[in-house]
Amino acid sequence: MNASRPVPRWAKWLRRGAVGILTAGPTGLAVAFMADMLWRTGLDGWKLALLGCFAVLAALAAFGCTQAVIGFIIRRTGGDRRRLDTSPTDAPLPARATAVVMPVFNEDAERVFAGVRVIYESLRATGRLDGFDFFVLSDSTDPDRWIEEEAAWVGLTRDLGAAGRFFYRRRRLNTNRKAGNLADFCRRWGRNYRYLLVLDADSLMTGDTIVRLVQTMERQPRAGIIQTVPRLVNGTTRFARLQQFASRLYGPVFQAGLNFWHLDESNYWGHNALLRLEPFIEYCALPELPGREPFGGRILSHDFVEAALMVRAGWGVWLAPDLAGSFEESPANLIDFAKRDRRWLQGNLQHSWLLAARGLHSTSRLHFASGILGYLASPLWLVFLLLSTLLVFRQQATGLTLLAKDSLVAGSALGLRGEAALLFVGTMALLFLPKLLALLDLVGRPVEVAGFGGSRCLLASAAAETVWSALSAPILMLFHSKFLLWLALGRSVAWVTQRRGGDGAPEWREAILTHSWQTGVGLLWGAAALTLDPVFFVWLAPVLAGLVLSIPLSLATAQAPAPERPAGLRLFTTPTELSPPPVLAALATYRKSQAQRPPAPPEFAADRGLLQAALDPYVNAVHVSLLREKETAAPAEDRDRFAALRERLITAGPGALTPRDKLALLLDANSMIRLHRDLWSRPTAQLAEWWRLAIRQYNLLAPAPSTALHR
Amino acid sequence: MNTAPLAPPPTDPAWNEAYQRVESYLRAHRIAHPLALNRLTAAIVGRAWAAAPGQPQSDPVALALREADTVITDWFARVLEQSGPHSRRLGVRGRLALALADVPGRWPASFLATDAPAPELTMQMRQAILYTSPLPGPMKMTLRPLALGLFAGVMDWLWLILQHSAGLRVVRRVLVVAAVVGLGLLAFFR
Repeated sequence: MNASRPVPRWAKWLRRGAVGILTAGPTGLAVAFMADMLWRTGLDGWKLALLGCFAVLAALAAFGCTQAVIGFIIRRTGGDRRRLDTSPTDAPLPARATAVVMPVFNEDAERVFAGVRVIYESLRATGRLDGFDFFVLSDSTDPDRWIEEEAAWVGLTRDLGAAGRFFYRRRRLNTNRKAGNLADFCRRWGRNYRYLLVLDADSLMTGDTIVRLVQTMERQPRAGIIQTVPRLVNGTTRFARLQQFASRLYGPVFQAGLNFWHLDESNYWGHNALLRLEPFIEYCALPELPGREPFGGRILSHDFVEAALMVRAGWGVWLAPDLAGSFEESPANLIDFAKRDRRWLQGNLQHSWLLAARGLHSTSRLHFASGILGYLASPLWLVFLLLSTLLVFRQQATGLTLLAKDSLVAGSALGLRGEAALLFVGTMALLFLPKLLALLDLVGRPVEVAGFGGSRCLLASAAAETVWSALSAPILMLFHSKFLLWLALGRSVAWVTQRRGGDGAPEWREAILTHSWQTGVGLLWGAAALTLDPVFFVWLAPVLAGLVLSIPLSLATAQAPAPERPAGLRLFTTPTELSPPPVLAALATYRKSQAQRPPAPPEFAADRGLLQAALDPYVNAVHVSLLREKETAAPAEDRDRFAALRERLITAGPGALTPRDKLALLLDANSMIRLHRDLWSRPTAQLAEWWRLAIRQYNLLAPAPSTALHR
Repeated sequence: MNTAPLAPPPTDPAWNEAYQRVESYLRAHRIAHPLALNRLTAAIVGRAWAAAPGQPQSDPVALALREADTVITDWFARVLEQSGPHSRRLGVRGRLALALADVPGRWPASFLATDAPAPELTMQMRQAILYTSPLPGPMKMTLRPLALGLFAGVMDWLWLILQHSAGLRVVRRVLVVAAVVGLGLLAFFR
């Protein structure tokens, strides 16, 4: 279809009505069964609470299942005729109209710039590079990361011949975090560009996909945001590979289902998306929420809100699941995944303020509600299970045999056990039907099945993933519930950098400290359940197993599987893993060559940024030049302070300075020029041992230390 | 007639240290060829040695590094055609130009060589500019009002009351804990 025509209002509501009915049907049935069961055994306040929890959980499961069913039907019947048309054209792109921006915050600079290099080269291969400028927008507060970024930017700009096309900017104050970082870009250079392609530090996109995104935006004059669906890639640990397998296998049916009812009122996920800058700047400035963090203050999960504001202003927000060349990475282990969830939970809960905001589209409210319930489901499930335990306890405490009344449904021949069994089967169907449909969707697609390592590998992986998801769900349930409790107690969330990639395996100590309370809860709860009623214990066993085994599960999934086995014979193989697209292969090559370089000596692991900025003639020149561009000279009264700090740094080493003092020196161009000169021209006896060792690295007998400029 | 030797005595520890430091400094500039490195270092230390009698208070390391700096800055001034007194900034500018033009990688024998540098090297170094950002294109990002509704207004009011009183903050926490404990007790004893 020609997607430049607006989607008729009736079509949107017809589709949303269908989703609503399909969700309400199974939910109503499940709740009716549950209510009948509870009524037959004597309804009281506790059981009503249990029914309330069950109703919400059933509705969420039914909502997910409905989307999978619709998605499956769409995919098996030739696709959605109202989906966004992202087909490529020969139309030229407007010159330098798109800014490709990557906001970073204390990320691995080598990975960040390797990603930019790959995207840049891929775009150059399309012959459409003229349409793009590149920016790395740093909010890094870690001096080591900051210096690495500067040197890596200069090195990469030089290697790519991208001077004047690839820019780097670091904010001294990271006000309002990532959203503030992007807003700062908009305020400085917004008028120069028509579109903004937002990437994450671990994002990767093919040049072809980027070109198609811009072409689609050009054809869609009312589109404000086009969000691609990034595929998870580059996982090396079992956990990351599980995640990427699940998202690759189950993702397509869910995405098709989501797109069915979202249409042009979809959502923005914060990265791997193209924004139309003018309306974004005009309408998407983020309001401050009432109160303070953790619930109020500055909006953390800005993407949903920006999408809602864009839709409110009458611009379209589209999902583009057809564009395959969009990638991101997954956290490497369960602990990092939970850490990320903690930030997202807080961000999503903040959206509660906006649920009733005037002027927002009802679909946007639904996106907010889905995001909130996605995390509230965990404590609700916990309460449901606790109430179930309580009801068993209360029943056992009476010492009486349970006698069921007749069903509310006249003439029902089902006994209590029959009703329970039916409800159980129905609930399992809601939970597992999407997985089954995703597998059925691959029937008749042999190339895709081969991409998963063949049918046997695919089925074995799907079975193992199902077991893993059942075991990990209770662990996440306790994590989310704890996070929520902490938030209720007024504790804020630290903005931490998660570990990604194969080196992200947590240590035993970290895993034990993080999961021991979950193991304890599992053991105590299991003992209580077994004492109360062995049948109840069996019913609860899958939940308890996940909790009791949380430490070994977390550790085992954080390890990389044996690499000697061919990819096609390994569980959780994905098509991108088996035959990686050129951008992924190129990134892997760069990362491999980076990994082969000798690491920095351990004594310089801390303060290696300061070391390079002060000693290395080239890094020092780059750093000072970047400061000179932006920073003014220190006031006269600060000069004595800086002189004293420099002297202490030279004679006592970096350990004698506070992080704040080191940062102050790094921000003062004059100090950095003097430090470079003084360190090299002081006799050894006047230097701290740390500097003596550092200078010795440049001696002929030792290999020259590497920097981002010179490897 | 000048009777001073051309180089410091080879057993003088302070001048050996100076030699080693100059050598390391030049190596930090990625001068890769050992012979060139050796000759340059010896020449710089020789110049420092010659200047030493006039500056008896100066340490050999400081003297030698000052000479190294002068040699390097002179070379930058020649290649970058910077006339007049050399500022400290010329050193920074020159090193940046070396890095941007990748002189150590592309012309490893040219840096500090007495021969005239290759025209392309000269051109590349003169054109080496750090483009940190494009031309400004400022736009105003104005916040549009967003009425959060009555519920949010009431919650905001409650939140402000709770936040502005330390006592009430404690009460809030106690209430949360009491609610959890109370529900538990109620469940088991009622």
